[in-house]
Amino acid sequence: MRGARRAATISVSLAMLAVAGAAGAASHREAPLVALDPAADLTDVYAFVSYDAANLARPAAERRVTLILNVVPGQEPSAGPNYFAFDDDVLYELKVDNDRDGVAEDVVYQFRFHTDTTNPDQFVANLGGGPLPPIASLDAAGLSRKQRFTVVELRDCKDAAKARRCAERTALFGGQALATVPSNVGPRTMPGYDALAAQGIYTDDATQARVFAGQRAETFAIDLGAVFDTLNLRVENAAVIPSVRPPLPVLTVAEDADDATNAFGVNAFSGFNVNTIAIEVPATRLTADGMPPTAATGTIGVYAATSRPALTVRRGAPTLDPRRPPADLVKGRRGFRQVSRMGNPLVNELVIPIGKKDLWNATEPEDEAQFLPFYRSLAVADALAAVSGVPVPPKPREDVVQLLTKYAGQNPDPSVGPFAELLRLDMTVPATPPAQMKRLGPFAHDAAGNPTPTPSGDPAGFPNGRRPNDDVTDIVVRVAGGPSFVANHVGDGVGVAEKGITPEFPFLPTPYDGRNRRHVDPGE
Amino acid sequence: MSRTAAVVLAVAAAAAAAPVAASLGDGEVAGAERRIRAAPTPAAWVALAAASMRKARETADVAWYRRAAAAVDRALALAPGDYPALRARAWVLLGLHDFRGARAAAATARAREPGDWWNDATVADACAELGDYECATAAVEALADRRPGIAAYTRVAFLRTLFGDRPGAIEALRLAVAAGTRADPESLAWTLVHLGHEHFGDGDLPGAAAAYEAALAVLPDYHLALGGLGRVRAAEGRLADATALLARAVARVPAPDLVGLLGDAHAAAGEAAAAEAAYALLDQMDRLARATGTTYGRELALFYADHDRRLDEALRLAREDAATRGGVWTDDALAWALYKNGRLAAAARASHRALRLGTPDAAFDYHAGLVAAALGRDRRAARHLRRALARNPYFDLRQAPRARAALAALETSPGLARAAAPAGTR
Repeated sequence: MRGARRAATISVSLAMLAVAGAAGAASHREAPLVALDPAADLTDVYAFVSYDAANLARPAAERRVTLILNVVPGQEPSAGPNYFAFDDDVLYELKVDNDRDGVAEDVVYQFRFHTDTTNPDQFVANLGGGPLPPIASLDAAGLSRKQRFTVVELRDCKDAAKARRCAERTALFGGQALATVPSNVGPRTMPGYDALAAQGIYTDDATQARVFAGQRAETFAIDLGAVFDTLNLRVENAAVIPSVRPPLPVLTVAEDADDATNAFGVNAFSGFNVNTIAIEVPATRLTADGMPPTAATGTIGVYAATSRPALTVRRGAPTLDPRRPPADLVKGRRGFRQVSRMGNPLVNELVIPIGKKDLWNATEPEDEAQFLPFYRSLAVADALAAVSGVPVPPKPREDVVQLLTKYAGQNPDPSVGPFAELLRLDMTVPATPPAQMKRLGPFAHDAAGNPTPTPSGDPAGFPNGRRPNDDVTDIVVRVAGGPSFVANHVGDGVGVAEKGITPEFPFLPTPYDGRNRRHVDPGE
Repeated sequence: MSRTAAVVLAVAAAAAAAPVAASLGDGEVAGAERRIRAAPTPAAWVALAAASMRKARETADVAWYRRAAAAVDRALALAPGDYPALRARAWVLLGLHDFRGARAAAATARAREPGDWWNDATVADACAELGDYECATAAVEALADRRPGIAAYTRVAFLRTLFGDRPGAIEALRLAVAAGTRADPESLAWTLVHLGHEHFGDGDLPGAAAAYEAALAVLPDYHLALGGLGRVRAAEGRLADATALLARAVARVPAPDLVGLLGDAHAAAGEAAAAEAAYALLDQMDRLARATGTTYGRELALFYADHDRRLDEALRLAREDAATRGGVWTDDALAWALYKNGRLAAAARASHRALRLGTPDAAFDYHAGLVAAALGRDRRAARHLRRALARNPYFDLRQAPRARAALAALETSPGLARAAAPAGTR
């Protein structure tokens, strides 16, 4: 009792200390406005002809294509105890346009998740090693929270007035709930993580589709801190090139041709993980005619979308006809609304201005025409010119409009659409074997500056689709900056992720484990 | 947003792993200040405003709102029509409780960018605070249709409760929690706290405690969660636990409602001196607030009315609140302060306005019950008091027993309650 009273006295004195601040304390009823939504936040989308040994060996007519979306970026591997999951309330989609009309409703892969908490009393989500055996299977008892997912393929859809109708709807993988691969906790809990993750690759015998959903290591490499610090790139780390570097963020020809080392930047995603959904299907499932891709039919446009259910304020519809109440009002829901989309990398960041970003994210790619002024004025090019002193091409930037919103061979008249911001993949271009891949893909050159001669060149990278290890930052900066930027090898000085290229499905590396995580920091 | 969010997450993750945990807001403020040093552009100043807003939420220190306002002003001075600065201005004014200014600023920004959900949210918040619920509902419907997520779900929940649909609010908050992330702990913890408030409003103490504890797991020492859990412990009769939790909450942020509750918990535990010390603290806060400006007028008005202290000040504060904002909570506070000052007819009118939407707040019915009893309307009084106690028998540590006593008096000897009405009743 006496102790309690003393505690009470102390508590009030503590409060007294704070009294000066109290007058300025803020009443705190405001709901969040700026809230992160990583589970629905698309960070990267990849589309490419699969480059695993099996697919490289297949005849052209039987080749397969992999589509990938990444969410939940910047995962600190040691951030237990709950680790990283997909969101059961989010609809994840990979969407394909195969008839060049810009409407990516021809083939749609939908992924929905469902979490079962099998052992709600278990304090830590994943527990192996101690009282429970190490987690060696996706059904292990130590996995108290199991997230499963289903895959549906839609074909020939029309998306009118937010209600989609499709000619075909197929539940892939027999409609089964497939296991997601959990976060890589560490070697005691999950001693055989690679084998565990391999159990999360499923094959659908009916369609030859393969799918994977779970954690992977981030392969996107960028000096993000320096780029967002008004392109304050770390040229001070680089060897001096007289009267050029510093200050200009340019690479020597030899540095630019080197795919093994980062020239001077620091990879902001070093040691971080991401959540991946990857699906591989025969190219014949993606062409409009179901036949192997040809010059006429082989180019597809791809984007990923995440959607959340829209609630209504009022539930129930007492004033409407009670015999046929609109289902959405009764449930208090209106169906899904797209909250994030991604086709080409960095469009949202570098092209679309603040204030339009959310509208852009909610808009279907085929309605891109309303955003074309931002492509044509390309404000980021001005910033590049200001920082580098290197001239950029004159406006309007029809080259940027063409590259990001139109198919090759489409009517070049800048007033003629359709305009759709899609990642375009020519599936007739054979995959480059991993050993010959270049981070700059079609823009690659050798240490002497000569374009890498075919057949050992690499035409199968961004902007022809996108592979996980393509250095899209440097390519985008050079496309935005124009010929002078290409000639001077301007870049952020980061081009490679530590884990390198993964030559097998799902084509992204084993995630960093929580115990032995490591980030390369500035100054190392 | 995705890459920006990614770096924010990476910073947050690195901060979480560091021995001295810097907050998300600290990282954003530092980043924005670096940008301003490198190039003081409107965008850099807006980034500082946004970072300051996050710090304001994390610390509940109104000085950060002022810093945010100053940063927005700098951006607008550099570029008078800068849209990101315009839309941020409405947000900042909401934090400073200039609701009319916020509504005008939000309308200006919405005219510029009708498709940006941000303006739907700021319009909704300003209208809700001003008591214009038609406007708020339309804006929230637009927001919820354009951009489902935490911002939309939490605002849908607020309006659902306002209109009497608490199960619907709980459903919306559950979606909001699922959309949240530990990488943005303040937003997630805020949402969990409000889920706790909804359960508490239903008298569901275990449900409320679980939500508050979940919030503390996300954001340790979060004053709103400590306060909520303290209120639950007090309701359960665990008064030592309650005072310990509330003292921690108050040491973090001395919000008047929490200080008052700390005093009530001490009083319930028989610790009169400690209770009085807490109450005296509120008097000091009020005096300081008069000099420096505050956003807590309504909470202080309710405190004075609840504790029969400085009732004239309670009425002054409640009227001041009614002059700067509106809506059912303002009406209720005004009704209670009027009642305590013996202004029964005006109290009845204000109480009627507070109840007009069917908002399931037990205090509204309690206040209406005492007003009705003082006016000699015994059956109406008993109905309100029964409803208050049925909604949440624990609605207030100090007032709930009084509600029970008043109801018992009405049921056993009608007319007695009227005799117990405040002196000087008109």
